[in-house]
Amino acid sequence: MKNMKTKYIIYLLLFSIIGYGQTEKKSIFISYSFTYQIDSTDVSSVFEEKMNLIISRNKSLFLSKGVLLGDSLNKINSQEKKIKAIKKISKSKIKSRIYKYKDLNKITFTGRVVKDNYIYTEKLNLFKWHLLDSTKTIGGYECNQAKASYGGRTYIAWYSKAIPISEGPYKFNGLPGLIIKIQDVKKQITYQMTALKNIPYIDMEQPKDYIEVSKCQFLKLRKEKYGNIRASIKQAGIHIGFSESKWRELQKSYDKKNNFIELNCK
Amino acid sequence: MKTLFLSVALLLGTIAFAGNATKPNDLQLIPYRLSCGFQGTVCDCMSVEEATSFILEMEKFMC
Repeated sequence: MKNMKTKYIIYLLLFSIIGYGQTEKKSIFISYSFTYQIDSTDVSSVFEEKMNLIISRNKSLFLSKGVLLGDSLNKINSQEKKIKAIKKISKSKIKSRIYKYKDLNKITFTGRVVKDNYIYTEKLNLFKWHLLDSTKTIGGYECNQAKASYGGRTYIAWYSKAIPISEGPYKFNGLPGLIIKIQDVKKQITYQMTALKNIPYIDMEQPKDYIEVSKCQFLKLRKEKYGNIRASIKQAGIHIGFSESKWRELQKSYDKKNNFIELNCK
Repeated sequence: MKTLFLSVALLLGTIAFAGNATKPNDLQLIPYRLSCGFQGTVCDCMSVEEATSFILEMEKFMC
């Protein structure tokens, strides 16, 4: 009888350890659709991209589906398959990653411009939210409205207290619930949640091997490099056999990328 | 006989011309070389932006 009791206690202890381990070791994977007007002068210059927000305890990472695919590329040994995957990745227009560290109270942005990888850091509490009275149901979630300005734009966010995670797409955070939808008032930028699921725990390492700059420096050098894309590519040691007309066409396409998410560095 | 020969020649000539006219242009390949020396080509059928994006990603993953 005593043996039975001991066994029962051991099993109970074991199951509670497993249960604890399972609740601890989970990440949340949220998908957003991102709609973006790339040229401020052309309302038809809209593209859509699938974005992912991965939340692991006190950290989160926001990146495009293409960039996420790139992370698994080193597992591919065949060069032919690797090139095929790179072709797929190259269709993604968003190459940046945004890490939010709650315990360190910081946001880390990494972006690639032509060949170089840059990194800059901001404080986590970037947003002065005004909580508004309006409510709306989006994707089955009862949402409340909030308003904030950032990077030269004013945003309207819809967040759900039913998901009490102070997170959102891009750098957005600080609301009393997950941001389900956020849109700038000019309707040039929209993020809308499309799916949410639990996944096995993913640990996010602090990015390495990046050139540290300030946000203002990053915005400035991106503008400069895109302003003469042919020279920037040449400077990076890359040679492309485009005809003169193709180079002009390429510059035109870069000139149209004039409506960045952040219009100023303040 | 001569007329028949001329007619056949004209017909064959027309077919050959039409065949050439409708034949799609051979796809042009644009060469590129990455900073690490890796060389490749991209198809001219890609948009210039798509081709550049691909080459820049190749630079990221192959160099």
